[in-house]
Amino acid sequence: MNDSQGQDQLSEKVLRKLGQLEQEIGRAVIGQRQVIRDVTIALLAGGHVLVEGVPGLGKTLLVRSLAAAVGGVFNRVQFTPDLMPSDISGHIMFDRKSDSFRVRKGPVFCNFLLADEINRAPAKTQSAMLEVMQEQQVTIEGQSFELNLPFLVLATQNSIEQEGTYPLPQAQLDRFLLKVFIDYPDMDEELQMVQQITCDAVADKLDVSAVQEVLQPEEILSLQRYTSKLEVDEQIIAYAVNIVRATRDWSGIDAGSGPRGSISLLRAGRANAVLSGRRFVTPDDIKAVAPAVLRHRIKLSADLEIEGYQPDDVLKDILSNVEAPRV
Amino acid sequence: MELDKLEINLRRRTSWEAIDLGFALARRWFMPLWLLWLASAAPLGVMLFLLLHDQLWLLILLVWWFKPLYEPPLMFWMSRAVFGEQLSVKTVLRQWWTVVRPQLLLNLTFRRFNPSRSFTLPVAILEQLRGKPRRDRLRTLGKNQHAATWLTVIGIHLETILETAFVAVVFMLVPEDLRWTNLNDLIFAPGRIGEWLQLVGGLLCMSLIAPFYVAAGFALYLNRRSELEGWDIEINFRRTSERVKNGGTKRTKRTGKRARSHARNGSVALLLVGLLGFMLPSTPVEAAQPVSASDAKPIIEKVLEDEAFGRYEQTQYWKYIGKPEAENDADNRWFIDLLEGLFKRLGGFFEGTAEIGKILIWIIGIALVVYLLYRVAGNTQWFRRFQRRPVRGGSKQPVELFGLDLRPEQLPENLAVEARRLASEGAFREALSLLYRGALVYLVMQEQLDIPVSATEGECLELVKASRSMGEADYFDTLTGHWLEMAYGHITPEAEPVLSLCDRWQEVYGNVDG
Repeated sequence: MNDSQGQDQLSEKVLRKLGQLEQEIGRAVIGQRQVIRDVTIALLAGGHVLVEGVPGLGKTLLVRSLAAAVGGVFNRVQFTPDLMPSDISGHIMFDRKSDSFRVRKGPVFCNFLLADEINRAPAKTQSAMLEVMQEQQVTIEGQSFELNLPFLVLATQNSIEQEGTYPLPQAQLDRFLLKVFIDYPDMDEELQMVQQITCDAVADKLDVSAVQEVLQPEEILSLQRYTSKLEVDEQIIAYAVNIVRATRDWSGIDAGSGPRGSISLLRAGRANAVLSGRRFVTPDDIKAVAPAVLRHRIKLSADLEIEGYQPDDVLKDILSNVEAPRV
Repeated sequence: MELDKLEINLRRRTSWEAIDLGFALARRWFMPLWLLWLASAAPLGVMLFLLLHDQLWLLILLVWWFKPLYEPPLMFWMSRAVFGEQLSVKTVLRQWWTVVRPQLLLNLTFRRFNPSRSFTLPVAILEQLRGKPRRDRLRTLGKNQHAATWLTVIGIHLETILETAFVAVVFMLVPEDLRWTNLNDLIFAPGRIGEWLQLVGGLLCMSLIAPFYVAAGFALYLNRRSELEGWDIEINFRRTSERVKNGGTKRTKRTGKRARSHARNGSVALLLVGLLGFMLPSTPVEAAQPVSASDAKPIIEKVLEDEAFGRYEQTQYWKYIGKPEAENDADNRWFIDLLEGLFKRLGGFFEGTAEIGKILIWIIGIALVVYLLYRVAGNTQWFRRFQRRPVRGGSKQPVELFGLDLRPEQLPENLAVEARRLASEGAFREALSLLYRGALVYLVMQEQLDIPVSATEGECLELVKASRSMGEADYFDTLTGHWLEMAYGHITPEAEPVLSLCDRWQEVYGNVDG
């Protein structure tokens, strides 16, 4: 059996499960289909997600459901102003019983980490966290520890209550593959959610028991490799680059996206193609992921910000002006 | 002409003061003048709109071109109003055709670009002169009169500024969220809405400027006639005469001598008025008894003997009485003589050829106008480019989408057969490209589907699903799927589905017309 046949078989077998992954998460997280899709894209592309939304919309539930569906380890860190880097990565402590130093690994050693309200921790802790995201390894007292893969960080930000926060600098925002807005569910979804969650539930505990494990972490790794090797036509690469370059010259944008934006667009586009059951990337894949990939990589001019424009408004303009690929 | 009833104070004025007077008149009688202008322009505008609502640029051009049609009623009304007879708008409109008709064709063609139109209009409308008498009259009236040309130049600028300002104000009043274009494009490359704004703004500004333009031209005309024909003198004499008559009956014997003197002056004034009136071409003589020239001479001499006339003044001034210093002049004399000779020769040459030059300038001018008209007619496509709404019914605009040339003439005559031939030869990419391009040409050109340049294949499919029949959408879906696999996945399709697509193409889209 040659490589391509092996890859085809992998995709057919695993793609079926991948389709189920979104369904499984959807059993616990009612509605929020776009958010589930974006998180799955990030998982396949091996990136991280910054989620922005008001409290109580199911961010924790989303990550727990994902962990349950993939059979990975889930951890959550509540970022506070007094959180130290060692609180995340871990530290070395003296064990009296064994009369030796022992490494106590922090919550970062997991597959799915929910960094709740990441902008409440000071810059030192934020950058330690972001370093872990980039390197996928932790150094404690000179000793390097590889993280368990797949590793996905879902950091949240509260769009209200900005007092006492440390907004993430542009350079650090750039490390997130996607920025996703989680919004209030619509009427039907909320009815269904309330009915489902309150039924046979004593307290506030999140129930992910309905979620079945459909993929193993190893399969996720295979899928990530498969996604990264997905064929991309040169025209598609040019299209992604054109979109990103347009953000640099667009009036109303003070700072456009860097080349990491183009790279992320392609990575996310590939993942979107896989999730759509295709073995090649189309312009639609790029266009579909562009807002989530680019909205945190551009800085609007003061004029537009004062007038209440959002990055998505400008990105919409850009996407409707950049010519689709010429084949 | 009853100069006594003149509502304006005639005195010797410069041309610029006359224009000022015209503006004052326009301000005073703005409403009737404005209504009269609109009453002429609005019906024509509506009629043109019914005929040319698809070609707004032509509509704007024609409304502007027909300006000489709207101005005569204003001139007519003012010619009555300055003599105290303010006609109602209805009355003028009843005589509209009679007022407008004189030399209308000439006014709308050869004389349309006459820069002193407002000044020469009364000669055609009020004096109704034509041909040589008109030319002679204009030569007399227009001597050293350049203000009318400047009035037109300033009027054009004011109109342009007002119109631009109108468009800019409307644009600024549109909330930023609703702005569909920028101000620059709105003025210089207007779409449908921009053209409408320019039409409305243009009409409004023309209607605002026209009363001032016509009134100023009329004031210039009155001023010139008053200057040439001494209306102000006549009026003053008449007033003096009136005063003397009234004063004579009231004064006592104590002032009899003085009164007699005035009366004598009054009779002389009446006499002069008679003479002047006689000389006026269009002024009926009504103030004095006719006196022959031979009879008048002794009377005038007698009058001039009166102590009221003749005055002696002693003035002092410096005058050089020494010999002129000729040394330097003698040296330069040859150069001055040379220049004088040269200018004389040149002057003589041009005197002889002036008529030929005049004819040449006319020919060049006419050729230029014809050329411009030809260019405008040839560039109607260029103007249409700015219209947002595509012209329904087989426009031949070149269209490009995804780098594909969508011009119908670029497609083979029998597209499905050609695609089938390519597919049977194994050129699946070319075959699918042809089918996809043909489908888009059909959708864009014949179904007027608005597909933006940024539309991806998926978005095109969504548009088709939203606006076309189920069968057509299914076909397009299948075609798009194969095309995407071929173009981006580089996956060569089986021959059978491609041949099937070729076979079905004709039944779904039929022939794509140019």
